Amino acid sequence: MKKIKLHTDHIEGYYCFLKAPKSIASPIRVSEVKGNHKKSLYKEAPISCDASFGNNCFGCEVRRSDVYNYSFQFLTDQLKHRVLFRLDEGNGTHKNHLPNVPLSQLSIPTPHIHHFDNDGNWIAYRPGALASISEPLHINDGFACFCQEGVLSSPDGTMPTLKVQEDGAFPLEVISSDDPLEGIIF
Amino acid sequence: MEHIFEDIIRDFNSLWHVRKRGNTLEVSTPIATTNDRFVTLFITLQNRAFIVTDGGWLYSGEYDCEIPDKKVFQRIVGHYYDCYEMQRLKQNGQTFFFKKTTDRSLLTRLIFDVANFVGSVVSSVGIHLNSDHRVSRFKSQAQHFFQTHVQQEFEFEKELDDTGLRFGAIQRRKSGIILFNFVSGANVNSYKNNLTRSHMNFSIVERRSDVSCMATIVDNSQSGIFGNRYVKEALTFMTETQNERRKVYNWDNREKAISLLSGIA
Repeated sequence: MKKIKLHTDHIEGYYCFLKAPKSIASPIRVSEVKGNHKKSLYKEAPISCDASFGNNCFGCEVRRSDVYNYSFQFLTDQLKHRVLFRLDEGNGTHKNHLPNVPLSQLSIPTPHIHHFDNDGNWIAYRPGALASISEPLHINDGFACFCQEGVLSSPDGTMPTLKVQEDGAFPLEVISSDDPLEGIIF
Repeated sequence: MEHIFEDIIRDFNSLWHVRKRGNTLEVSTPIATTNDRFVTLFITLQNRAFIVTDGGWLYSGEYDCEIPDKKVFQRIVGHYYDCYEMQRLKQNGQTFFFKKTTDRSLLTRLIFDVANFVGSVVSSVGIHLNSDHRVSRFKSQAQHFFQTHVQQEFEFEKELDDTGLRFGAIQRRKSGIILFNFVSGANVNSYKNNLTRSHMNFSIVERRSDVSCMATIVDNSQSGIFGNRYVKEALTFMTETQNERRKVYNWDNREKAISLLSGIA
């Protein structure tokens, strides 16, 4: 498998982008069925940032209409990998592909955030706000965490509002369940 | 030394993560895949039977892998499916792989089986079954030659910046970027494709002023392929049109390619 890596020439600009305030039009409506994952709702929306890294946008994916299974990310057109920063919940534990790291530190369960570290390695980590969480994180709390860690707000400085609802369907809160196997009879 | 065993148990134990989700346990296991994921299983109780399942993740793309609809992959999945005596259920538009038991003492055994099944399938899908072994071998041979005969830093088989173009070896110097391509192939078609791709990639980056030199090193060990009319014509063209920035060498003359490096140091 090809290892994802950010070239050292890009690291300074990358961290400038991450730390800089970003704004997005609110509310963000996540209502489109994702092309390659028909069970996901997806939305990309432009963001503005004074320290942009290529052309940037925000992306949100909600899998299986589950408020405990989602990703938020910042994307760029400057890298083939596209993803610059991502918060994941509910889609499995990541194994950090790093040499000289003890076994006990390889496994990063969700919720976690992916970013490029100082050496350009694409890694998952749990920031302070997520470190002690042992229960699934509701999408609203996950979005608040993403906005805080990714310095994202509405143009007026408040937290953007997220509305997840497939066109013509009931709001997500109604159709989702905490139990991923509910209704499945084995 | 006795503490080593305690370290093993402690560190392997630390790889388990469990969360309760309604009437289901979501369990992240220590079984890893080659695309850097740990296998997650879901355990629930239905009609006094313990169910251990992948939760539909294997076929829904949660592991960032699509199971190709090729016979060979179906055989691979089938092999592990049989080995671990898995069961399959299609429901709500999803495919679940699972095992079930009413015997509580067998539950961990089921977790072991299902986790290994998922891990094996996901890792197998990452294998490029159609790769040309002759190409891989020649590239390894060339990389080894560069590493042992040139005490300089190279990036092997990497994309140049974000151009989408991969090169056999990349060296970055203050005076400019030096690129190498290593061309081989198990048959004429593969060889021709690799030769033309290499030529095209060099032609694209030739416009860049920061690329100072591009060299093609061709595998001339297989006389049948090397003697092919198209291959001969293409190599004659490349040799006749080479200049200070574009070079072509036979593998037999690889020493000259190295002298090229010292010549422009």
